[in-house]
Amino acid sequence: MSGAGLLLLRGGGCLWGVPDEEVERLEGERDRVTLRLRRGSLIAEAVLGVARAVRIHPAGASLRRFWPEPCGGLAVHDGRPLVVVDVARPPRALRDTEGEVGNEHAH
Amino acid sequence: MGKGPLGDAETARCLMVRAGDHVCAVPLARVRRVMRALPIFPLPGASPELLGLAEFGGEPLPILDLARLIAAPPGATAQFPVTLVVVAGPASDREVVGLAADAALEIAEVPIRSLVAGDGGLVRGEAPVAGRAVRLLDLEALGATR
Repeated sequence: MSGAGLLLLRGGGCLWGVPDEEVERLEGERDRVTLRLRRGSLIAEAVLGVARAVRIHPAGASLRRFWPEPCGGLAVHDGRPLVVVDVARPPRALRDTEGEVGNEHAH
Repeated sequence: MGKGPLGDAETARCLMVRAGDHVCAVPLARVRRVMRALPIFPLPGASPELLGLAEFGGEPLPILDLARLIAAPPGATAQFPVTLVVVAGPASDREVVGLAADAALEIAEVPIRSLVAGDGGLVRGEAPVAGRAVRLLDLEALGATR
C-alpha cells in the first residue's frame, strides 16, 4: 500500500500512525490526547504531526511471531520506523480503557 | 537431516558472528548487509527476542536479538556490535530482518558433513571450524511459528 496519510502519535514509547481518514477529532488533556475515530477512540501521549504519502509495508512473519499486537503494517517517516494502527484492533498501548472505547473488536 | 537450502555442498560459505558466548555461522547467501548496530526503536509488549524496529534503506526493519534466539549465555561485552541484514523465512514467505550480534568475525567454510544436528529451530547444527564449535543458522526457520 502506498500514498497513505497518517496521523503520527506517540504512545507506549513507540511511534504510531493512524490513517487520517479514520480520525474525526482530537481532544487534548494535560498529559494525553484522545482521538475520536469513526469507530471508537484511542489514547496517545502526544500527537506529533501528519505524514503524507507514506509507503506502508506488511508486517512479516518474524515480527508477528515475536510481537502479538495486531497492526496495519509498518512504515518509515523522517528516518524513523512506525507502526500503522489497525483501528479495528487497536494495540494495547493506545487503547482507551475508560469506557467509551472503540475497542469492541479487540478480543 | 535433509538437504535443505545448502543442497549437496560439502561446505557452506558463512559469515561468522559472535552472539553472547556462541559463535554462529550465517550462510553468506542470506546476508544482505553488515553494519554498525542500527538505532533501535522498541515495540511495547514485544518478546525479548524482538528488540524493536530500525530504519534501513528507507524501510522499516524488525531487529531480532540473535543471542536470545539461540539461547546463548552472555559473553564478553560487545565492543563493536553489528546489525546483520539478512533474508529469512522459507521460499514462500521471504522477508528481510535485522539480527543484532555482538561482533562480525570472519568468513569461513562450515563443513556440512561434520554438523551435529541442532535443536530443530534456528540452529541447524553445530560443527567445528578452526578449532571452535560454531552453530550454523537455518534462517528459513526464523519466521516459523514456535
